[in-house]
Amino acid sequence: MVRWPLARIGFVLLIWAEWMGPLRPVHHLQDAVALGLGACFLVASSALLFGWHTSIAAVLTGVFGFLLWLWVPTMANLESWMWLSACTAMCMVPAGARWSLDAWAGRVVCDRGGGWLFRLGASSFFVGAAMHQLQPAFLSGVRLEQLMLARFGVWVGPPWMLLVVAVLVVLFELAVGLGLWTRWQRSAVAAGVWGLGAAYVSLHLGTLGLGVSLFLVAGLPDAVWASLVSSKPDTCPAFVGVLPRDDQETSC
Amino acid sequence: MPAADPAAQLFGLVRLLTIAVTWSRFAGGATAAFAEGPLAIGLSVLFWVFSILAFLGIQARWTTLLTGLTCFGIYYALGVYGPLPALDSHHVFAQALLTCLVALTPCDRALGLQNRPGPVPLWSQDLLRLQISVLYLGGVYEKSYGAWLDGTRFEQILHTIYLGSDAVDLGHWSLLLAAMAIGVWFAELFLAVAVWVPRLTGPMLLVGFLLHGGIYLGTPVGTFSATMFVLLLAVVPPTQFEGVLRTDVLRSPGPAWLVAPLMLGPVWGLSGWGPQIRAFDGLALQACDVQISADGVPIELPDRSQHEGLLGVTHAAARACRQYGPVDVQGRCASAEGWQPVEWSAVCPDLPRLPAGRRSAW
Repeated sequence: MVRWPLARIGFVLLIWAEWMGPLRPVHHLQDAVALGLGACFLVASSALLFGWHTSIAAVLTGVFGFLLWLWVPTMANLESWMWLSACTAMCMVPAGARWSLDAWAGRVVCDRGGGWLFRLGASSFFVGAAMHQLQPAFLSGVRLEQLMLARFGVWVGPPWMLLVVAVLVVLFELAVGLGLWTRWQRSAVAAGVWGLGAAYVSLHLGTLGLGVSLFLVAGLPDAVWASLVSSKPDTCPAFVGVLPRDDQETSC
Repeated sequence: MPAADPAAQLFGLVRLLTIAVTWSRFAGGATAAFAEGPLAIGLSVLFWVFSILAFLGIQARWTTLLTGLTCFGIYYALGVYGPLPALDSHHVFAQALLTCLVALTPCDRALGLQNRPGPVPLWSQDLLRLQISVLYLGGVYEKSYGAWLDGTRFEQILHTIYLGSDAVDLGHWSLLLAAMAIGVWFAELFLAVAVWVPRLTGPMLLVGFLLHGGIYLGTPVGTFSATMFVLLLAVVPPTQFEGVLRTDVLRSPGPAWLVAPLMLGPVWGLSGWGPQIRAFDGLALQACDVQISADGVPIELPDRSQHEGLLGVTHAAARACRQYGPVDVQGRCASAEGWQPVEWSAVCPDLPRLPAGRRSAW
């Protein structure tokens, strides 16, 4: 069961990376509320990172994190919302089962059956993005043209290609977001990770690509994870697109 | 089974964390939208290929080593001898060094898609210990002078970052600064020694986390704190790491649906049903596609003015106007609703004009 401990470390590091600047005390010297909330958030999220009373730490990280999100305008964005919700959901999975002070102390860790929350988070991101883009300004290709001009200074292809790409982007997002709930979940995860990777290296995504990928991969079925991290060496396909099936005996 | 071996697990985890910190440091600058020129693009491509393979654990030791060497390439070719002075930093050097040192550990035995079998030798941990000791002893040596130990250097940092340019009389607080300075000196000395003493592992991690966490929050050090903390984790004796590897998991279904509304945040915020949270800011871009002309003669515009949207075009028009007289601006600029037509004329004060000929607003 390495999945939830890995996800726990990953999401705490992501929210720290996202808030690296605005969390510093130097930015809140005039605001006692933000200073206090920031200090509480740091203690709670450190406890979550090191797995000290993991479930309680997860809830407190969420409480102080969302209060900061509401209080400090510069800390309120989509990414931090998503990483905070993932940190909070750590109270519903056995996130302290490994690499934690809980494991060190031999405490029993509870699995409250919240694994599906991460699938919901990933799905909600893709469906939300598609709904955001279901508007004439995007579907007509205009926003993609703006994007190309602002990022690269030029668009060399014909205008109709932007229109096609815009429609394909929306369809892709809907397919991934809804496909996560079908029997094509593994393919949807692989497609989502590759899509986010492509967007990451070509645009400015910040922590978004890495974090949504973590949502996707953390939400895979237990059997896939069991085969991915099994100790049997050397025979696993070296291609993420080929995730083993639930019902398949695998030697990875 | 190597993957169940605590040493294999430790080095596997250290590999994942090392790559995560490396991404945090370099990834933003290594994306295609930032990289300019064949050298930077080449290094970016190599960085992504090697670091992703290392993260996934495919030929992990080789790909980790190649990631580290690419980081050194980025440090020297783009930072020290290149156009990006921000990369010319000992923090970047430390990150590249850590990645290369991790490649020497058996980091390919667990937590990857290809877990190699075989024993897990520990000699590489001594190399890491030596590196940490040298690093902290260097820090101690560098801080062994009066102005550090009496808190003056701390006061200077405090002024630089927090208090501004006017000197502030700190009164008795300067004693606290002196105590902190001496505390840092002792903490570094302790860490340099504690890495060699297995019994001091717990205190070493605690002191390391408090020291680097404090530096991280108090001063703008970027990813250096994370780099040092991964280094400290990498020298934990595997026998002690075994304790954190497993504990009993009790299945007791809980009210997971209580957390579900948080997960729906993106739908709520992105769709416009709820209050707008900043999302896809990148799509609300500044961009124009205009033509500026004076007396019907088109004026060459710098690309930047188009990227910077209306503001950039206005500046370019003003510059052109001062040089060539009244200008006409025609074209389109991006807004949240899509392209909007732009058509206006600008008249400038009567300034000396440049002679006619090829016209440019650079």
